[in-house]
Amino acid sequence: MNRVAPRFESATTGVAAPPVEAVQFRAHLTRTRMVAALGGLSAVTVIIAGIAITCGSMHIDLARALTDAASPDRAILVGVRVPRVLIGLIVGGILAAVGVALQALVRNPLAEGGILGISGGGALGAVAATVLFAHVAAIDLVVPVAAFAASLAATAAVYRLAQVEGRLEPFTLLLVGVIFNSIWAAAIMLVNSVVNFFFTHSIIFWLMGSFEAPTYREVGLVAIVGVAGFTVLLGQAHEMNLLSLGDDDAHELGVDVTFVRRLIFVTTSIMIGAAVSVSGIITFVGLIVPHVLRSLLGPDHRLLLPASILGGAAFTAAADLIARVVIAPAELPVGAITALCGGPFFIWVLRRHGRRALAL
Amino acid sequence: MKRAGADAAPAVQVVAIDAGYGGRTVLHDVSLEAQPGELLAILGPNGAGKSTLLRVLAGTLKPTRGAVTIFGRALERYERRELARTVAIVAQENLVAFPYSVIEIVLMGRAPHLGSFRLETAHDLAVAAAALRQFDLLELADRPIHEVSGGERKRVFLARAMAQEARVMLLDEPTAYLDLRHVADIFAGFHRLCRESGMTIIVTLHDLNAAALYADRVLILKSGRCAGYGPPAETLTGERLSAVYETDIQVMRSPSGRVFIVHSEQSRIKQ
Repeated sequence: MNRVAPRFESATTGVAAPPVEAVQFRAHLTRTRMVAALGGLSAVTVIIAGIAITCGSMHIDLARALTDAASPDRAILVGVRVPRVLIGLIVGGILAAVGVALQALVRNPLAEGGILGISGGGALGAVAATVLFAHVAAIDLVVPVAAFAASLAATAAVYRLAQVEGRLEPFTLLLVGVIFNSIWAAAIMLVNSVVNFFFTHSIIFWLMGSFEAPTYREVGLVAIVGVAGFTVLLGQAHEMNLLSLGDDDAHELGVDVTFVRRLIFVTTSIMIGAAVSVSGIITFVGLIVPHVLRSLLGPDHRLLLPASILGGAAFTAAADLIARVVIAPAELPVGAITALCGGPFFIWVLRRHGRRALAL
Repeated sequence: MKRAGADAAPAVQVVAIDAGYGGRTVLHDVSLEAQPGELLAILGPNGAGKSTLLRVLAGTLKPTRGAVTIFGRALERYERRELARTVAIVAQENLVAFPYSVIEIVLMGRAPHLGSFRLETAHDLAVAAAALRQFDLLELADRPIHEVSGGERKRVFLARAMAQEARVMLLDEPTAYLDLRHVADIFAGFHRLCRESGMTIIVTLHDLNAAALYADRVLILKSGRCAGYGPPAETLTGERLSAVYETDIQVMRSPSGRVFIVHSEQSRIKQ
């Protein structure tokens, strides 16, 4: 062959082992980058958690709370602040991790539990269980299970309806989510209007999203589900990278696509069910946090996912702190804060990237 | 990794397969064989079943009849990741959902060699660097994939397949977006890969002249059936091609034996 192009190096081809070269690339994941990013985010999370525990609508003396077991300061710290901050951290981590996983699954950076109507479905399940099983002793287990089952059904329905000729159409997906959210909200209001007004407060709680007065039992439940969910999702982080290339390419690179899809579906549904059952619908955390971190750290899910768990925890704890202090002694639902930040942010992302954000 | 030539079995063997989608049969009774070190071109008009055949070879689509073996072993008996280390595929469309860099995409080719929680090692980076150099992409390595041109993106995906270190490459229209120099570069590179590394390359093509020039064997499909199979010099005849493509195609030979395929309806307009 005399048309050999000069650009090709001879000898080193894919099959023969290439020599180790000193070529440096910047734009890929390294251990140094992982350690720096996750270390930094951990520090931010710890600082925000510290501030959130110290500040609130009531001033407490931290020294007295730590030393005097009988003091009201101690009662507020241990009975109110700590569980509330803990649940904010865990739920925030869950929401952001689920956002990342769903975005990878549907290859759409605007996917998120709240936006796709999955949290709404879960909330409807929780409301229905609260009303129907009000007299069941194990109500605090029935509600999360109902929330999970409803989240799973909502996930399956959104996914099925957004498929156009076997392909997931990104804008259809978002539209289906918008429509689902309206339907869930209407159904919840319907339940609200037919039942005893005794339930109204808890129904509003689910609609607005709040970390009001969690018990340690609730903290424990959501922590267990959260940690288990994080572990499962982190185990699929590299598969999420490969899914970004499309199902066929992921399959051809050795990913069991059907299994990974189902695993992510069920795991995220359980996680959202747990989050919703303790805090109601909190939207946009799963959109804002991964989006900001993706632009700072790159799209590799092996870093993006753990970073988003930490970032989501910090962001949500901070949002809840604002919700508690901004109109103290009254408080705002945290869901209102995240939606007030997230709505404009969503529009900004959509306008800025347009179809390119959905590069499909 | 075993060197080619040590295997007596053909790299890829397809025996009398039928395949299709949801009851609609696209391929009827197709067979082929590619030895280690061979470049086989699959030709045929749009909708003839070329991409479907590649999907069957990739294991993405199960044939409804017949058998596919890779190095003498049935395709379905390969473990998923083992198959990914043996066969690399570059699809016609190369989608990327998030702003990965070029080097990140190429490193994804290392996935079948990687453990679940592991990061790429220096060796993986060296393999990726060699693949980038092969496709003239070293300067683009850190660029986001969405900022490179269509031809560059195609080369990125070819480099990803290279980084997979497979012994069989399946390429669906790899030259569709490429300019002439890169088409020549890439085919020269494929040729060398086949000769020097014993790589088997199966490629679907619209460019009949490229097939005549570079392929060791061609398979011509029409409406999902085999319409010709063998060395290009004997298989690519004007009569056969005209029948397959339903337009007037002439095959000319230079004194040196090179084959030129001319679409003569076009040349008639020019005259």
